[in-house]
This record gives sequence, structure tokens and C-alpha cells, in this order.
Amino acid sequence: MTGSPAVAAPRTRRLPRLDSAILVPLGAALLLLYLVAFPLAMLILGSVSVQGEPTKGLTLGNYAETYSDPTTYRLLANSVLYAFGSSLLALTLGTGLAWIVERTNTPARRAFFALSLVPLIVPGVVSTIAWIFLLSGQIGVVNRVLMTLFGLDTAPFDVFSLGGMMWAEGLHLSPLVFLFMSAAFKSMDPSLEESALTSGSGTWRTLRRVTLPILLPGFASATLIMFVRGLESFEVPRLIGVPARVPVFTSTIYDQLHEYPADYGGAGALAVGLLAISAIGVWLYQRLTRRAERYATVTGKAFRPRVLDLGRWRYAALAILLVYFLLIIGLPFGILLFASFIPFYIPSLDMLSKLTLDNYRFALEHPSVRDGVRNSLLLGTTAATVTMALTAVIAWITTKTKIRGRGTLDFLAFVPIAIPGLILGVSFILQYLSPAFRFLPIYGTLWILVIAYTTKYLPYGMRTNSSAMLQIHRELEEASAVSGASWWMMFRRITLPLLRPALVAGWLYIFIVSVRELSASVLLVTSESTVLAIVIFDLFESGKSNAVAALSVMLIITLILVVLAVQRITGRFGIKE
Amino acid sequence: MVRTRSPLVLLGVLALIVLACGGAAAPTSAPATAPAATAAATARATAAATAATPAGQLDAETIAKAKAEGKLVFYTSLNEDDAKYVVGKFEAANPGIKVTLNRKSSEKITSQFITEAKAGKIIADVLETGGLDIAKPIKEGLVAEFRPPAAAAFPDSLKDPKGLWTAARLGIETIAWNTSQVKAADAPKSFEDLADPKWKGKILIESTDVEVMLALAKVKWKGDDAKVRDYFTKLAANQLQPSAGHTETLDLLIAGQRAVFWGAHGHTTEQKAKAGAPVDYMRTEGVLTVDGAVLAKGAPNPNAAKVFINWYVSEGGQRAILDRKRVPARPGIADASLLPKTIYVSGPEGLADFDKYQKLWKEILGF
Repeated sequence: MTGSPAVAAPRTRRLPRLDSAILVPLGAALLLLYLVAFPLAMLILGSVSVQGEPTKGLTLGNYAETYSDPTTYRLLANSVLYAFGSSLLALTLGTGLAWIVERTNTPARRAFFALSLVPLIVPGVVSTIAWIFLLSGQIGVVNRVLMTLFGLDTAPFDVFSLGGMMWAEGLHLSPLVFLFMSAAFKSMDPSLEESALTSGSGTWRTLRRVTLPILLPGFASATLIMFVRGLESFEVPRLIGVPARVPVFTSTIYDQLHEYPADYGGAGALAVGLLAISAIGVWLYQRLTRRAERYATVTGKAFRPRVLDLGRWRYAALAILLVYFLLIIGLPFGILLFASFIPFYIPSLDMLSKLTLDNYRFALEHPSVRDGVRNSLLLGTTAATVTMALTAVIAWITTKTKIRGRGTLDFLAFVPIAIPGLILGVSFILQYLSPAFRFLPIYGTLWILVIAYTTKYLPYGMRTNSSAMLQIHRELEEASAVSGASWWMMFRRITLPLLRPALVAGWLYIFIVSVRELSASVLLVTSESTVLAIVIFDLFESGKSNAVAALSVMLIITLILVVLAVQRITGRFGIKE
Repeated sequence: MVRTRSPLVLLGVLALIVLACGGAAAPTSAPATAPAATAAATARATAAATAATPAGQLDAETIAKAKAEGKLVFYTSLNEDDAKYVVGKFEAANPGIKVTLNRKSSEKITSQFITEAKAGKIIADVLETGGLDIAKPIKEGLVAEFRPPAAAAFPDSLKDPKGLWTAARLGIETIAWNTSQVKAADAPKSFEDLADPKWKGKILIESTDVEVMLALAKVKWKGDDAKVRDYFTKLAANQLQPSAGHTETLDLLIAGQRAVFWGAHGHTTEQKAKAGAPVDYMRTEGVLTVDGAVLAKGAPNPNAAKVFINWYVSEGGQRAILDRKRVPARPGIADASLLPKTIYVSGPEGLADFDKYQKLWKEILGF
């Protein structure tokens, strides 16, 4: 048996095989290019145009103005510090939780999978305000309780600080790390850890020398996304950063887009800076994971991740889970639940006399809520499926082939993370209304949103898929090529099933954030094609914050049901314990 | 119903006078006690406009063409429920013309309107939103001239001399306070009151509310920037807590984060107060922001658009706005109990000075 190393060069010359091996990856690469090229070109063109409009002339003034201004660097320093702090918190919490849930025999850990995703679905504005209501020096419930309990004169926490920002953002991001890392843990071969342990290596040493290095691609992916997400996050800098007087990159981009006239040029120049930082991140990631074989733990050998028996420590792990969920998910959820049953929020038990179901009645009877829910579910499902399928093929190209330009492809798939949603929205309008694209009359329909979401969430699909792809050893694909399977057959029957944990994690994430997406959708929806996030935002803006709390509670319950259903469906194929 | 509102008509007429005198075009703020002669003249004008109904209507040709078009697209920053209510009333009053609605926050709907036009396709027939935002498409040359006959009697601060926009509704921006923290007697009576050091550490402010500064500077202080600077410097010395978003800030005020909110929206404050929340707002002074309606240049359904705008600023459309507890622009219709006594109108022409005051805002307040 002389196994051909290059998957793209099948041994026999049957045409369909050649076709799928070339056509599918080529098609995927072209589609990626199509999705990203226009918004990227718009961003760059805008950044070198007078007032962001090419018709008004080209200039380098936006860059000169932005990057000669010392405030830009103060913003950058704030942003980096904030992104660093929140990603550190998110990575620690997310990874720790994923380890307990996926790799240990802690009691009831499965129940926590769905719960740990709760912070993802709550609209950013709602969860941020919930943290203000908990930790504000003046009205924070936690502060008040602690002050009464311990007889303190001053509030122990002040949410309006850089620390408060990191806390709120880190907790908001931690479910994403959890998803990433649980997928990585699922695809890990515990026999490596076991052999290390049996050969006399201590637990910590094993963790440091075996477990962590194997997890590197997943961890590096999560770190990269986390950091850039931290840089481009929006709600926390706006609602906590503004009162704390800690301005960051994104709050400034937002301001520039909302000035009169909107400074698309200046915002573009800042966004290109963000893009440059992202590019460095992708480059570092590629260097770090250059030797793909090193991480390939899913091989042809029998592979069954087993859980680690924690012995009596499993109750300690359970205690950690409980504390985490009570404090981090329970407290803001408690505020939300309380707010959903009262007409307006005041941190006082007197409000218990005003309990009402009006908010729920209002939310359920509101016609746009129904339309929004239907459209959002449809869009979330479609966007998540398309994005994961597309990025699975792209990730295969970037990790399993040596084609030139694969690094560029990897970078292109990461570009949308640095494009502000509003700029993405504007570029979609300009693209699909321009005469050249009139043959695709999708403007004003849900289709344009499918394309927008797919573009926007490419980076997440790409990172989950490519880190998981690195864990799959080439020998499995080679075996299938040897036994005469076409590329498509190999991809469908070998690669995708092995990617399942990552596909499920990425799918869930994209599904959830699509339902929440606001900044790009806001310019693309019409009242006929409205989505849930827009309806919520509209209600919130018109002062119905308590109805929004009720909606959020219902969303959380729906989310838990969806996740449980997905778990049941995929559980059939998933990893047995 | 119409008969019982005579006290309101009187108050409305008073409001009209204040508006007429307080327009930024003629930047003089007038207290509610305006000269009687002006009051009488304005009252006559209003009466004339409402009595001679045919005068407020469009010509038969436009109406016939509008019927033939049979539809229009309406872009607005009214919230969804209110917008649907208004559209429902219009469709009931004008059978055969169907309205497609697109509602978003003011700057978003304006961005969409402008971007679509730049991409080469006009989708909206009518755009109705905040004055400073309305000024943007006007500046870009994307708006067609149209003088709705129903708005013939509007004072100059409520319609464009060039016929490019007509005021449709008004927004109140003033000072709100938490009634559990501030007794009625201690409540601020003027914007200047909050410059008093006794409010130190007690003030919330929406961090981007330059429009209020702009209106105060141009109308209240008639462009005397020394006064503007002096006031805002004193205000800043009171350790303002900046906050993002009017709704969010109002929620914080109700929850007790601070005692007063500089720049609160009257409409939402009143809504919360009605629901029992411990808030109230200042009725002595306030800034009135103007939301204007415009006809899109190159609108696909120009005649239906004209019928819509004309209906919107007529008694019928304005009553629909009133039904939603908002402040209609048409003189004599607004619920006078909601309006502050002295008002400073901020219309689309404010855009010209926006940049200047935004710089001043950032310089003095530091956010």
C-alpha cells in the first residue's frame, strides 16, 4: 500500500473524484472571497476618502489625523488593557468550566452545558445594565447587601471602572471560550494523558507538558477571538465605559459614525488599525500551529475520550460549578427576573407589592415580537449552517493542504471580525443596490441578512473549525483516499463527522449571536423583515426596558430548550463516556 | 371631543406663540406671557387655517395620481407601535393608498435613506425624523421641495422657508428628577439651577446631548458663547456622571443612581411617571427638538407621498400623534400640560453649528 500523501491527487482517474477535490474547495474559496472582498474594499476605500466618500476625493488625511493624535494611543492602550483583562477572565472561566463539564465525572455536569450558554443570549444592553444594578456604588444590590452584612461605610465594588468593564465583558465572553474549549476537550485523546500519568509524570506536570500543549490550537483560537472581540466590543464600553470615563477604540468608532456628518473616513482608519492587530493575531496563530501533526490527536487508532475520575474531589468541582452559576449567571438573571415582573426597576423590596405579568403579556402580544422570533430563528439556523459548512471546507484548505495563498485565505476569513457592524451594513446597501448587483434583488429581504450574518460570523466558524481540523490526523483522510473514496465522500464521511464537536459548538455560537445581532442588521431590515434583536432594541429605546427583561427571560428559556434539543440530536452521534 | 378642548386650544395657541418667537431662525426665547396682539393675530391665523378646510387640501390632480400610485414607503424614527398606529389612521382616511413602513432610530433611518440614494436607488417616498438628521439629506440634495397646504399656517420655526421640510412632531428635552430624592420644592426650575454647587455629585447627563447645548446657546443665550461657556463650566464642576442613551439613563435615574438627569426626554419620563415610577420633569424650561417630514427627491410615488405628508401635518395626522401621547407640531393640538412654559426650538438649521458646539461640549465636559 503506497498511500498517496496528497489528498488532492487521487490514485485513480475517475472524473467525479477529481471534480469534487478541486471544485468544492475552489467554490468555497471563491464564495469566501465574494463575501469578504466588497466590505473589505469598502472599508479600505472609505478610510482613504474625504469624509469616507470616494466621490469627494482620495486622501491619507484620515490616517494622518487619526494616528498623529495622541488620544488614539490612549484609546489603544485602554482598549488593549480592557481586551486583555476581559479575555483573561473569559479564558480562565471558560476553560475551567469546559474541563469540569467535559473531562471529569463531576455530578450533574451535563446540566450545566446549556446553563453556561445563558450569558450569550441575553442582549448586551440588558446584561450590562443588570451588572450596573448589581455593582453600582450607589444602587448596586451586591454592594448594599455587603455593606449591611459587614457594616461597611463605602461600597466595596464600583462597576464604573476599568475593572468593572473587564468583569462584565469577560463574563459575557466566557461562554464562547466554554464552547471552543469543550469542543477541543471532546476531541482529545486521553490515552496521552494516561500514558504520561502512568509513566510517573505528576498531575500538574502532565497538565503542563501534555494536556495544555495538545489544547494549544483550541486555546490559541479562543484567545485570538477573545482578544479581538474584547477590542471591538461595544455595549460594555458604552454603558460602563462612558460613566467610568474610560474611552476605548470602539466607543470612539461609534461616536464617529454618529457625528454630524458621520466620519466614515476616521472610523475606517481606526477600523483598519483594528484589522492590522487582527492580522498580527492570525499570523501568530498560524506560526504557533504551523506543525499541524503535532496536535493531531484524532488518529486511526481506536479513540474514545474518557472522563477523569476526580474521586472525592468531584464534589469540590460540583461546588465550584454551583458557585459559578449562582454568582455569575444567577445574580444577573435574578435582577432580570425581578425586573421582568415589575413595571420599573428600583432596588427595593417594596417593589414586591407591584408585581405584575404585564411585561410578559405585552411581549407576547406584540406582533413584531412574533415576526421577529420567526425571522430570527430562520436566519440563525440558516446563517449558522451555511457559515459552518463553508468554513469547514476553508479550514480544510488552510490546514490540510500546502496550497499557496492558504494563509491569505485564513486571514480573509478573519477580516469581518474587525469591520464595525454599521460599516458592514452600509457596504451591503451600496453593494446590493448598485446597478452591477441588481440581478440579485435581495435588498430588503431576509436573504441579505443571511449573507450579512454569514460574512460577519466567518471568523468564528473558521476558528472553531480550523483548530478542530488540526486535531484530526491526516492518516484518516489518506486511508479513505487509498480505499478509493472521492474527496467529497472523504470529506463528508470522515472529516465532517470527526469535526462534529467543533461544528456543534460553532453552530450553536453563531446561531445564538445571530439571534442577537444588531449593528449590521439595523441598516438592512425593513419592518417586513424585522428580526428579534431589532424589535428588542426598539422596545428598549422607547422606554419598555421591563418588557425587554421579560423577553430576555423568555429568550433564555428558549435557548436552554434549543441547546438541550441540539444536545439530544447530536448526542446520538457524539462521544460516549 | 373637539368641543371640549378649548382650554387646550388656548394653551396651544400660547405654545404656538412661544414657538413662533423661539424659532432658531429668529433666535429669541419668549416667555409664555407674550404680547396680546401677537396672540390674537396667531389665533386668527390658526382659526383661518382650520375653518377653511379646502385650503388645507391638495389639488384634485395630485390626489387622483396618488390613488393611481396606490402605495408609498414611509421611513420614520417613530417607534414601531406609534408608527403602525399612525399608518393605520392614514390608511383608514385614505383608502386605496397602502403604506410600507420602515422605522429605525433617527440616525440609522437617515443613514439608510442617504446610503440607498448614494447606491443609486430611491426606495423611500417620505422620511420623517429628528431635525438635525433631516438636515443631512437636505444638505446632500436628496430632498424635493413640497409645501403641504395643511401646514400653511405653521410658524416659520416649524417649516422650511424653502419648502424642504415641515415639522411633524416635537421632542421635549429638559431636566428630570427622581421624586424620592428631590422634593417638589427643591426641584430645579431652570437649566441654570443645576449649576448650583448643591447639585454636586447628583447629576446624570446623556453623554452626547450636544443638541440641548446647541439650542440653549442659540436660542436661550442668543449665540452669546461666553454665557454658554460659563454655564457649562459651572455644570461640569458639579461632577456630572455621563451615561449613554436616554432610555438607559432614565432607568438609572429611576433606580436612584443620581437625583437629576440633565437632558431627559419629556415623552419617556412622562410614560414612566404614568406607570408609577418616581420621576417628574421640569415644566418651566425646555428644549424642543423638531422632527420634520420630507419628500424624497426622485421618490417612486411622489403624489402618494404628498398626500401622506399633507395628511400627517393636518389635524387628522396630528391627532394620531397626540393619541400616542406624543407632542404634535401643529399649533393648538399638543397637550399643553406636557410642554414646558419657556421653550427653545432646535430645528434642522442647527446642523450648521453642530460641529462647533460638539467641540465645545467635549472641551468643557470632557466626554
